[in-house]
Amino acid sequence: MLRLTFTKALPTQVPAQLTVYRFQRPRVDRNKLLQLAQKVWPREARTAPKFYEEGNWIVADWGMVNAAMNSRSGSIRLRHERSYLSSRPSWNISDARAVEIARAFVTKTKILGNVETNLKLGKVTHLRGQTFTRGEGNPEFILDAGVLFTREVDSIPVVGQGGQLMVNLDSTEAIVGGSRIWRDIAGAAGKTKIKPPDYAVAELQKRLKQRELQGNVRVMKADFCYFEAGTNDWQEYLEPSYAFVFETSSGKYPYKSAEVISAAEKPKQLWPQRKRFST
Amino acid sequence: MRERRRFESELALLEVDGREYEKKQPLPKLTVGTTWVNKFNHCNQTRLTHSDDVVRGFGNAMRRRGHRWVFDSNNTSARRADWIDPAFGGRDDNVTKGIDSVDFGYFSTHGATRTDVDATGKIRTYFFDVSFNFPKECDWVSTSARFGNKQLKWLVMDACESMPLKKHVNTKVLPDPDPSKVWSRSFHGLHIIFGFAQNASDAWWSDYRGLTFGERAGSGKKLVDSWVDAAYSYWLDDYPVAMAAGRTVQDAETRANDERISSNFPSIANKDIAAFRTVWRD
Repeated sequence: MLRLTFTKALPTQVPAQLTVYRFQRPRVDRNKLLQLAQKVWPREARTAPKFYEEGNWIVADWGMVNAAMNSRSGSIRLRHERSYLSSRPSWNISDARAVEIARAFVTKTKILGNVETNLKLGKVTHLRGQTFTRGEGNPEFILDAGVLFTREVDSIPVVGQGGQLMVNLDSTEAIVGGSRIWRDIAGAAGKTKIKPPDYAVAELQKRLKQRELQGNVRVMKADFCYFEAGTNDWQEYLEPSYAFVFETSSGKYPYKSAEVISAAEKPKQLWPQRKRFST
Repeated sequence: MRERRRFESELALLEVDGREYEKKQPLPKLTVGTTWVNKFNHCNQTRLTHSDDVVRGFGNAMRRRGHRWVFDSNNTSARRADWIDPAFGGRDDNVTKGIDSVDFGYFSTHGATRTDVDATGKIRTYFFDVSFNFPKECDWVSTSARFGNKQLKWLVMDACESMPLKKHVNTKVLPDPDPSKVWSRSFHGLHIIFGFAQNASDAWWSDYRGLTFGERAGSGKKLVDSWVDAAYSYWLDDYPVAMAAGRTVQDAETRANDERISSNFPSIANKDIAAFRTVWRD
């Protein structure tokens, strides 16, 4: 017997219809990578980089810094290889200050083009460290702040592994990394009628039964949203969706997973796509 | 002029990361072993759907970088004996599918951290417990492992609670856990272990984390950085953790900060480990 309990409920009211958007086809632009890296790290990225492929990524590598773009999603990754983890810096940067620096970074680099007004603060994450000696833990410390921004389109949140931008800074307020999974929108691809939340909950129950889940399933997150997939997923359309993250522990072990259910009456792209690797 | 700039760039590398081990080394060709379980019909657990994807993504990424993917044990072929040290009756040194017969291992299945209590209810030890799918051989526990006394240097435990952090687990069940309490007895030459602070997602949204980690780790990027970047998920609340062992505090810090597959850090016997360094994002 499957029982759903919602930690966060879906909104009771959703729009009757919404726009479906078509994404721009991702194009790996080496010049864009160069310009971006030179804006962020002008000293380290002043010479010609070495270009190479790393799976779906094209990497521009200067040794100390590298910038990469993903050919399936257009995602961007920036990394400083400096050993900023090697000391135990005292951390005096408030979350508000970290957000301020990250917003300035977005404006300066135009990493999102001219759409930074769409930025919503998701979370200020931290890279943390702790040392253990003779079974005793020493106090943990912060190594970086990863300011994570999320996206909204037509005042609807964008949910998924995509639709987010992270800016990393160290204890000196220097930018040490960043990542952008934020597909560029080419334009509207029509309007769609929206299926109601009741449909999404019924569909979720159906899918969980297909997974043979039993007992109490806790829905930790439930969103009416536009869904944007992660770095390695090809996505052509941005469509209204319902997204769920849920946990259970019907056996001896905990279990966590997610489902995305299209809210569009006639979806243009269905999720999930086929498995990445056959079994 | 270009040569001078290149020299300056390399000099900067040495100035900042100027330890002996950070000198550029050619990438070694590693051996890789992977294990995954999706079906638990013999062990009565919730079915998983993406263990194969995370593990095979890693294996494929490593193979494409010239490393040798020696085995891929799965639903029916994965056996717990391949994860148990011979001192405890196992055969993890089996060259065809023993985890301690390869340099880099990746395991995805169900997992949870448990406690062993004495007669008064006081916790004696924390240990990690995973599920296989073989009749009467369902559970494997970390206390039966001596990773690295043969070959293993790096291991990903892609499973729930494999690297538990107090602020992310149910403290009524695990009052004061940390990754060193769970894994310190299992480090017998192992350099770094990678895992999750709490539940790890089994979802198509995130099933390419093995691929992403393999692409970066296998091409010589910093290992801890690569894992934390590949496995963190904001929406799914996946919090990746890595832990390195060292002869001293400084040694553990250096390894956690800088180790790559090309670094040539020597393996450390369990009795010589004085410190562990954990790094995570949350």
